[in-house]
Amino acid sequence: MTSDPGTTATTPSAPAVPRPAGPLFALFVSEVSRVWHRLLFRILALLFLGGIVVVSVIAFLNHAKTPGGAPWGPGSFTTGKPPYVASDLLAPVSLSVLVGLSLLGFVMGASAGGADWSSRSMALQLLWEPRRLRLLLMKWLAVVVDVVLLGVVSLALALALGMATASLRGTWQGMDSSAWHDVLNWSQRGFVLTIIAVTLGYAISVLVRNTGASLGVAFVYFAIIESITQVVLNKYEPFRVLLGPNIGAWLNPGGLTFPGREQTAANGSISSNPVHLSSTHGLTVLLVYVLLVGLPAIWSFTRRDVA
Amino acid sequence: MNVIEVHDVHKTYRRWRKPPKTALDGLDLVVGTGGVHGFLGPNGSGKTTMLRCLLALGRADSGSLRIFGQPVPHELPHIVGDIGSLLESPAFFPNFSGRLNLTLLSRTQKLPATRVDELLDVVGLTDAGGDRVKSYSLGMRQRLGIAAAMLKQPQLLILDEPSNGLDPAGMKEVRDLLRRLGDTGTTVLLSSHLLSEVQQICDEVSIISRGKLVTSGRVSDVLAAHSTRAFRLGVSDGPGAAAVLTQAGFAAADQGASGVLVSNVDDGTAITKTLAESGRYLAWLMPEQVDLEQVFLELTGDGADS
Repeated sequence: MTSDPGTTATTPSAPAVPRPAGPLFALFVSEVSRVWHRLLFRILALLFLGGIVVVSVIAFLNHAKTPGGAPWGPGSFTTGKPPYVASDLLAPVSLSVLVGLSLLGFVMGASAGGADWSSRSMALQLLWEPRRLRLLLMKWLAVVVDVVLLGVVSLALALALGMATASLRGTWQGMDSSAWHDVLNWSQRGFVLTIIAVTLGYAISVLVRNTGASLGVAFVYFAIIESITQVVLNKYEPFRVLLGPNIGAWLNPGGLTFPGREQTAANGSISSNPVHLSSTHGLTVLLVYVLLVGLPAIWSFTRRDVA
Repeated sequence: MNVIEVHDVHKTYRRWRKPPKTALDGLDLVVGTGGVHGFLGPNGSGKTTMLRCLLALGRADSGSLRIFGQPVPHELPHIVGDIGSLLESPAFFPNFSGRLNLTLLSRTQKLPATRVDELLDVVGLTDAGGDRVKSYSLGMRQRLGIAAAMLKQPQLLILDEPSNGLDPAGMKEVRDLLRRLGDTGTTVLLSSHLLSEVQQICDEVSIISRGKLVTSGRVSDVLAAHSTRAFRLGVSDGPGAAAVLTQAGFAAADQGASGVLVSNVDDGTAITKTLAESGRYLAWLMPEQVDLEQVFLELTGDGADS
């Protein structure tokens, strides 16, 4: 080992004013860069963008302009393919992309947190930024920013390909300001869901300190707990508090209606009063889940010894 | 001014369905400014726990810890820019290159980009800097860990077993590097099992056992305090000299070619005087040397208390 030019250039003694940890923004930039450099992030991002292109090409091949631009109808069967109607399809396309992104966001959130623990690099990073809450929040924010940026690119790609398909193999008829408003509205909801999914994934990984275990928790919840609860506790209308139904209620601007508790009338007939979950109710439940997982994650990370 | 001051620190690990384990039991530690300070103790004596508490990776149950006069962990964020550390085996992102791992750390402190390459050069990893860490040998990872610890150009360097995994040449390089750093004003706290290494490069040493400090001070003073008060001498008539010395009240034993060992003597001149009066003259006389290993084993029992 040669001498350190930075050290031998000076002859330091005990510093009069020791240097503090780095600034918050520098930490944030470093963490954004860390997430972006992760191989899994890049592979998943490329697969996601590639999937959007493949689905868009399939949509392109399965639509055709009607002769003379006439509305599609029974007489249009000469081509056998319907036209791509931008006003009907662009909003669902944007929502689909962002729902997919929220799934990806959960995996990326869980993986970003899990990788810090499995590589044991969290301890190393705490030697540079000992304020645990600050480090945790910057790490979470970095994953959110990276995933949201991926979402912006994905959405732009999906909409661009959809618009190109509408121009070449469909129609812009009906694509008025109201239709664009729908695209914007659904996109906003999708981005909010994505941020919630990243947060849940990251928070679970902080609690269990492992990517695989975090994904396992999600699988067990959706595949087992939610299904069993829906069946066993049906009379208590569990959909009011379960994650799946409330995700649906949030994504649908008008909320969702579920069959309520079954009641038997005097004449023996069985009926149920439908229960409407508003979009606001859905978001509130999702945020409660974030708090239920996020607060213990923060508490645990700021108090436990780090090896 | 002391760089590190630790007073009466206690730390107990509470374990699920197992009795609690006391790691630190009223530990005291003082490290002065500059130089290399050895921190020794058997496995499980609490060395790493102590360093973790100093660096806020673990929380002490009670006691006071100060670095640069500031209480830690509370004030650690305000002084951490001057502390570099390497605890046990360094942990990096295995799929990132060594250079990228250091770059990401340096960005949090807004260090100049050139600093990473300087340090890679210092630890001899310039050529391997672009390789993924998972392809590194243990010794290369250790070098990268040392580079990470030095990246901030710290005033205080805390190193836990920095020679782990290094080949003999690498160990010598680390020793030379630490000695140079100590000589140029950096305070180095070195935790190591290699007692000869500590004896060679440390100015001061603290030895702990079962979570408590058992001795501390300049290496020469610690060795002197545990000297055997014995002398070994060479003389033509070994058995005769031993008999004369025994008659004069010394505890002397002839050990053949190794000379005559005389124990419990404070002053060597009494030996020369006694032998000269009996007409025997010394070929040589030297105090029996103790080394750090002997002192360590004496102070910590059999050296393994975990």
